[in-house]
Amino acid sequence: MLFNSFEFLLFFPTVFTVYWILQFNLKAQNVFLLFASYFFYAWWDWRFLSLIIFSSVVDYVVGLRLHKAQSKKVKKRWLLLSLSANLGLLGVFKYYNFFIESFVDLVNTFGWQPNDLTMNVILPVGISFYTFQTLSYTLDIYRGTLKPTRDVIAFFTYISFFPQLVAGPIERASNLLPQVLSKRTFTKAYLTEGILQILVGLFRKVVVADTLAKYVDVVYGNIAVHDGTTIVLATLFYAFQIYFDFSGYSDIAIGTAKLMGFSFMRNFNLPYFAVSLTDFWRRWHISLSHWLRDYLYISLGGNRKGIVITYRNLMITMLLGGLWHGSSWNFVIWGGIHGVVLSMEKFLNAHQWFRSIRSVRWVGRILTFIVVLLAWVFFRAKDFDTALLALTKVFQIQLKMPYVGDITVLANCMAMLTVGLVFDFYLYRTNLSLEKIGSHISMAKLIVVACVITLLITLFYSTSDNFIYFQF
Amino acid sequence: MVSYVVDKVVYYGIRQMESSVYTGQSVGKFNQYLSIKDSLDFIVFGSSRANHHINPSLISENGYNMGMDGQKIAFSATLCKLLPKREQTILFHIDPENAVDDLYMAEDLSSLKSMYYKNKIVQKEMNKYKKLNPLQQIYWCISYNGILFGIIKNYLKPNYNYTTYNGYDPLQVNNSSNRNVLKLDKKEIQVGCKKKGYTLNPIYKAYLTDLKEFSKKNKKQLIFFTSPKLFDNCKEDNLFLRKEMKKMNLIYKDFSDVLLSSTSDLSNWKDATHLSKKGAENFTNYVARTVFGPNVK
Repeated sequence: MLFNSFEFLLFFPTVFTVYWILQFNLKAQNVFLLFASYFFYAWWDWRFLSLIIFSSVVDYVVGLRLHKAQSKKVKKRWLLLSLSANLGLLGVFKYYNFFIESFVDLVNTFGWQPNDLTMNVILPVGISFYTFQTLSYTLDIYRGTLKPTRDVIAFFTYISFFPQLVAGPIERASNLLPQVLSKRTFTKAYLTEGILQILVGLFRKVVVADTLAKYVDVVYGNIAVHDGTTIVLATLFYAFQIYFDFSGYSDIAIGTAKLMGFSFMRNFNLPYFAVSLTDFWRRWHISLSHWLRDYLYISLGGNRKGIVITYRNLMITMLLGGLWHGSSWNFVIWGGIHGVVLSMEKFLNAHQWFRSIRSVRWVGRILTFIVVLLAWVFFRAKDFDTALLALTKVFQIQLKMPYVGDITVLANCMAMLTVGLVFDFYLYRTNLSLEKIGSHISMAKLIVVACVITLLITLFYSTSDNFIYFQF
Repeated sequence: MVSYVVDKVVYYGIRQMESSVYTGQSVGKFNQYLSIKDSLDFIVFGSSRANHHINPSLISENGYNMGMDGQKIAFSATLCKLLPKREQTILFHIDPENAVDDLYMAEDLSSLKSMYYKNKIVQKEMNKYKKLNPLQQIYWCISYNGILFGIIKNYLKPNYNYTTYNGYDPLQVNNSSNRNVLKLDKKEIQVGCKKKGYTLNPIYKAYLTDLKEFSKKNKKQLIFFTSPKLFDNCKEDNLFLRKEMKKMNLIYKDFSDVLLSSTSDLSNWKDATHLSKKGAENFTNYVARTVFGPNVK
């Protein structure tokens, strides 16, 4: 079920009403939330519910056993079981065909042509997100920073809680599980914050991102016929499409959770205002970058084992972070570009001249944005050859009038992007977040804002099949 | 509740402005059609292959081309049903591959959403095929979704003088770009037919039956036709459609091969499915001669 679907418009008010009717019985409320979340997921494909239930069972049991285990060796065994089960499922459903195809390509170069070993595997929606979520629970218990819960309903609800189930934010057990275990109260601040975030999220997704998608899809659908200027414009649009798509999704998820009395972590913080790539990763998909930092980069040794190992760890983290997004070499390259530039930044930061250039903030912003833009080409292009063709055309630097296509689409793209950016600029300049605005807004102001956003949505919404991050 | 009221206020504001717009494809062309449809003698309906291929002025002194990009039978038939009970000739474009497309679900009706609250016939057709966004029942502004800028632009600065516009939009070409496009198209030439065993799409069948009835009751001369196409290597769907039309007792002219003999003269073509201005005028003259005879005007 998509947040921007008609079904969700019926689903959520029903869930919201029943949920708050049950507020005096926490157990019943959690049981209801669990079934509502399973229903939400099963709407897409009920068969894959078994995977979530399997992951939940494994990590519930492993969590208790880890806590009980006395020796390091036994703990390691239980951890290994959880890692194998979760990453095994992810490997089969997400990466099996990718690794087989890469293997076949490799052996083909030596003249060996094995039979077709690929399988017709459907990628379960949200598997990358809930796998990381369950893993964080086990890893935290293994590290001794979290105590396992015995409340099976609360644990299963934590894993499957519908606002964050299919595309995050990747919530840590240390933040979400205590909220599931304790009584939630309905507050005015959460109500106004939630409504505002849902409305702004919907606007970002269905108006800005989906409108931009129309132009981007046409250009990236046939790179061969378009010139460099058009590809630059389409890539620029794509940079904002993916930002508004995913940040819009996160806003709706966070807002929905707020209406149910839960507080999620912030997932985006105006990433295109970043002054360096390091800064960018503090602002973009924060729940993932924190996850990668805490469970991968630090586990590999972080920056504690010397400069060379630090660079190695950074590269491994970013390459795997790229691969997490999808089973294609393009995502690995995307991660690789980020890894290389992050390493360069780390290296150059030791030099005074670089720090003084960086202190001119707009220079940093422009350079960061160019790197991010360049990497997006690999993220968006359907394969390596297409990305290469796109970049070749861009670097031929032939200034021409970009492709216009349907003038209404282009006009809507420009106008809605401007509205989206002006709002983000306002947030940046005033150092405000949606949460802050939402918690202080009066009901009268909220009604006005809701009317304006609803009007903008009805007049300018566009349709797209999915949220981009659902495919990951 | 507040948002519901605001929506209605804005809707009527836009509607007021939109009703005086007669230029542009999003609403202007509809408005022009609605204002002159009763007085027309000859009307062309169909997709871009009708819009760019038939110059109605070469066939009738009082003609209009209501062809629009991306539209299929549901859209055109609905507009056709708005015509009055008087003698009129209708040239209705139909593409065989669309007629046998199992996946066609009358999606083109959604383009009429701006007329939903203004016309009962449009409303009925959209409801029949469930092409109305359910939220449009509450938020009427959805009627103008995606076209507001077009309306404002044409309200403030009309594109052309609509009183001399006959709905036909010729495609200008220059030789070099034309050759490039044709080269690219040639790469994607379909070898043979995509499928075997054709059935007429049920929505097409229903609309063809409707149109036949409508023409009979409202004194229309209804002629279906297919425009020329380059590199069309599948003729089975054309043959199938011809048979079906014959079975239904409908007049159908398959012109898909006309002008193909002049593939060497690329100036007749904009791309593999669209004729250039020159090609369109050659084709219109051909249609005028073969369908309507020498004294057509």
